Amino acid sequence: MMRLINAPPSPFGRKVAIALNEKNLLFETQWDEPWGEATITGAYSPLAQLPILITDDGEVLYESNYLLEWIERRYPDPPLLPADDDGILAVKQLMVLADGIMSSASTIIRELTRPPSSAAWLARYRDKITRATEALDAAIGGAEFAYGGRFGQADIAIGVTLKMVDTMTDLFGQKIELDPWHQRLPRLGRYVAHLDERPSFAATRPQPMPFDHEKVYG
Amino acid sequence: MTMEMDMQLISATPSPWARKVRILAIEKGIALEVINDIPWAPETCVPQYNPLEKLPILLTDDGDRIYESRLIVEWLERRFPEPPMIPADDEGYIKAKKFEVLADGTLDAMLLAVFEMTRKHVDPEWEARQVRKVDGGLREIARLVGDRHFAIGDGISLADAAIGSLLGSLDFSREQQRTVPGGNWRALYPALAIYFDRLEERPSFRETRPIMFDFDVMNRANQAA
Repeated sequence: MMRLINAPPSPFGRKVAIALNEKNLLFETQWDEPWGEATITGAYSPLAQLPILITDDGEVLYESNYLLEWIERRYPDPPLLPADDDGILAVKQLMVLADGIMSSASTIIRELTRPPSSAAWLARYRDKITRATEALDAAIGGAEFAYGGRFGQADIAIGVTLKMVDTMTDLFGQKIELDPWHQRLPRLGRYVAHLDERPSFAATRPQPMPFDHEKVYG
Repeated sequence: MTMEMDMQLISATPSPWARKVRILAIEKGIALEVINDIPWAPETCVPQYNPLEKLPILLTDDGDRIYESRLIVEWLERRFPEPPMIPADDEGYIKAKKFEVLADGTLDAMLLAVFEMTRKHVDPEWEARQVRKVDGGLREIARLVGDRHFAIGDGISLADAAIGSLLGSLDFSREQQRTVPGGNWRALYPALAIYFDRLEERPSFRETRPIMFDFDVMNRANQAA
């Protein structure tokens, strides 16, 4: 059986878990705390990153977008990418925006929890989130799914990222304001709420980890 | 009637991300006009094309704009499949992309560590974590390349462009007298140095060597941060 090494709060691991769920693939999850003493992450990933997927053949694969690509090629049904070049490229451009929001959010969280944080730096990354959420809203319009009328990788990336932006307001018991995108873009909010009802999203909700806050962002 | 025009790549001169794209475009014989931009400078044109305000950005011949180097590479491959730079079969595609993941991930960590070093209050644990990633990424790339001429198969591919851009960027920092994590890669991995020096003789690599841009602008932006 495939094994996914993941951390309970990780949005990157969640993307992969959702794809595996959507394709009805059996896998076991091994929880890891990448900053903890007992982490096994470094033993499997040269970049010491989660998630890591150990395949049925024992192959070790890492990096969330790479894993989505591997899963799609190995288990094409049901498809999570369009079949045509234009569609694939359009979906991947939306995923670039979602990933950019994710990394901007991570940068802001790290900046806020390091003393002293830089106001200019925070403003720069908040602006990226603002502009990228607007671009996503414009691209999706009022549609049920991000591209082509069916659920796919773009929905995974956007749904997971925006839920992460929402939950990161208090995940570490500390008030953090990332971006009030719900107020600006109610239509995008309805789109994400609809995705969030899917069984694959319900089965993979992020959980806080009892890890040492100081160790993570100190 | 449509007008023929070259595609344009908005880039920063020393950017390894842009270099990866340029190497592959040259290998494919695609004409790319390179427009240099400094995204920290007030006169930057980046925000009008990319909401994430990052380089490189490809302005295509049909008026589209594509951003993020990995996606640009994939766009070029799908629009101009010959000669192939990413194998079309699943196994080859996955192999090539693995090197890109490693090279790009190593570069990301290297840049995060360098940015940390420029902060007034350095977080040594965070810096050490990034340095570990750089070391791990380089070690794995060296192991996988071994003494091969090309990272995958027997010809140039995305894998070599990604690895070459990373290694060229490390060498470039050294030439600029800047200490960066991984800067000593040649001493650690002599076979990788032979592989890279061979690649550097190719016109696509020679024509895209990193050159310095106005670092004062970057330093001012950094101090503001």
